[in-house]
Amino acid sequence: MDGLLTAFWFTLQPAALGLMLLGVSAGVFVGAIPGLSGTMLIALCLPLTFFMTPEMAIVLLISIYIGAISGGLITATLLKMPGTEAAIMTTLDGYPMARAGRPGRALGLGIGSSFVGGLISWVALVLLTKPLSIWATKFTAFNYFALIVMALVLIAIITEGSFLKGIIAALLGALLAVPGIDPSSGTPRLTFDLVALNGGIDPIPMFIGLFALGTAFTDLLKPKKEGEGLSTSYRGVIMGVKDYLRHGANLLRSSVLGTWIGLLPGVGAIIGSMVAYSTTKALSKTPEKFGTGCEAGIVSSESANNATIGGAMIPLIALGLPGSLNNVLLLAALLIHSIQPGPLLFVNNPELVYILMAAFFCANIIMYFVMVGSVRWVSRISQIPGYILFPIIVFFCLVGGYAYGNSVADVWMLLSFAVIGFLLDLGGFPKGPLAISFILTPMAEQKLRSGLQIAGGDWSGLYTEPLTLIMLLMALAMLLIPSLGPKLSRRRKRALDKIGSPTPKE
Amino acid sequence: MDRRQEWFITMLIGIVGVIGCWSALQIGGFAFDPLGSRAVPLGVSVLMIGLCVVQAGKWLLPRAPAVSATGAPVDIEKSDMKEDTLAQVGESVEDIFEARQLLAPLGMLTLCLGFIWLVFLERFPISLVTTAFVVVAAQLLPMPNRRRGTLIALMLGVVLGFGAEWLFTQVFFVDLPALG
Repeated sequence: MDGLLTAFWFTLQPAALGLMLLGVSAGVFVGAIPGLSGTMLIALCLPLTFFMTPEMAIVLLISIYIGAISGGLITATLLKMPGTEAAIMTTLDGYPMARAGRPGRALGLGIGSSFVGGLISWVALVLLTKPLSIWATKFTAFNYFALIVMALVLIAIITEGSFLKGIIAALLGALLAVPGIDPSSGTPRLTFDLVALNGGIDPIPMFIGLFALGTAFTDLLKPKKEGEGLSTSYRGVIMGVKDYLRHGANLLRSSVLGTWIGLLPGVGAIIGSMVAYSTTKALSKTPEKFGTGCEAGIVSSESANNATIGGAMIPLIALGLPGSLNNVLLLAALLIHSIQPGPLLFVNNPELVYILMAAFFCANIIMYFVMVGSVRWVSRISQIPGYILFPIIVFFCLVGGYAYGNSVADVWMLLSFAVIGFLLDLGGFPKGPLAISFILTPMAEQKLRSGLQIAGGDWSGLYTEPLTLIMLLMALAMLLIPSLGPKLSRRRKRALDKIGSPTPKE
Repeated sequence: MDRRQEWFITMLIGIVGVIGCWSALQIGGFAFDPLGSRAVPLGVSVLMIGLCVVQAGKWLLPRAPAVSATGAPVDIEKSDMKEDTLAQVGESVEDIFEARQLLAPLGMLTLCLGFIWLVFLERFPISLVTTAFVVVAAQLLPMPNRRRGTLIALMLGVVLGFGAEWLFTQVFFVDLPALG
């Protein structure tokens, strides 16, 4: 408790507050512009965090993360253009309500729900992280290996697009993590006799290339959609106490669902808001109103998508497992400062964990005020033409990549990964599994090797340790279900046809 | 076009897998380490090659027969050859259009290469190279009014060029490439 209070004291200092205000505003700004994302901005800011203390770096990145997830709701509601994927479900009810002459009310519900969702997930973050990290310190090397394998499989199969492509992308990330001197044996691996590769591929230029510059190249292929703007009053933009009470159950349920989904690796805010929206609709007495400007729809979608942020932080801090792309970037920011998230973070850098929690809480409050204050002009920001935005993004990617290590090699690396990112986008391969696997594979390899060394080369620990076995079986099941599921249902259908059962087409 | 793009990129990833596999085979084993340095890169590469072959094979297989809305297969004999030809022409036009779309990212990539080359040549100040970069980059993008857009890009370039140079050198103390 003392640690958390000290952390709050730190985050309330003018420098940290200023950085949070800057981060949230920048996050809301990019979140509101379709094509730009929080991931892009966090990737761009990574080199800048090199010049900050780890505490300040975390404060800035968390604020951007929260701002970006929330910012998408403004354009989703007013222009029917979700600035971020997380706001897609908000469009379904937010835009019809705004069209019906109540944009202020729609935005007010969205902003208030985002705020509550963030706070509820913050409670989970504070309550669950420490017990989970204490439990994780008891993990054996094989347990940890199995956990990472399970997370990798989950990330690869759940991410958008084809299951097979997700796995291929994850394997590509794993292969890209290999180059360098093997820390266990001192042998150079996949370096192709290039001295620059002896230290491995640096994640910072790689992530800026993949997620900022690569995405910018891909965006050049997409024609910019013109939103249908609304110019009405913004009355009702502040959610009243009565509204909070009326939507209390929905807020709580959707936030808990969002937090829980955020905990699962790779699932993300969009799935969180979809599940919460569908659940609320299923439980509603008037499901037909959903999609026509229903208040409960906005509340469930927005509270859940913001709640996923806190949920995703829990495994990142407690286990060192990044569950989402933004969390991979947060992890990279910590690694820049030689801080390794995981069970020992509470022992080695407890102040950092508490600052993260305090920053998360304060950034949510700042987000609320920034959003309420900025709704009038954020919808106009989204209309900034590409010929102004694009050169700025490209320039900051290139100069930021150079500034990070004062090295021309980093810039070439960044550009190479921008091309790889663009090609992956073109081929429909998700980049999330690649990035997460790039970070997790060396961890998994290291745990497996240390487990085997401790056991004297005996592999039996993988199937005799119950927790390891359960997690590996779960990973196997998750791998097999997507490929076997359709075959089984086809076989069942054929069997039904054979015995003459009525099928829908009959 | 999409299917061909996907196939081409899958094959590229497969080639990366082959290179990884070949390179992993060069790594020696060690007695003190039960797993060794080779196992992970080799295993990952082999899996990657295998899955890329499966993925590429999926696109090479003939497409399933078209199914009508009621679930019954469409009678192929009845399909109008003329319509097929028209569809093919349509697809080709679409292909050309999509290939032309690729010119914008390729142009931008070339521009980035030029920018990096000019900056690290250290013959021109980074502020001026940035200004030129912003103006040229803006030309590659759609503008409703080209003259007005170019003027805005020029102003932005000047602000960005001189502002970023000041920000990085004076605030972040980064030694940006300077005149030699």
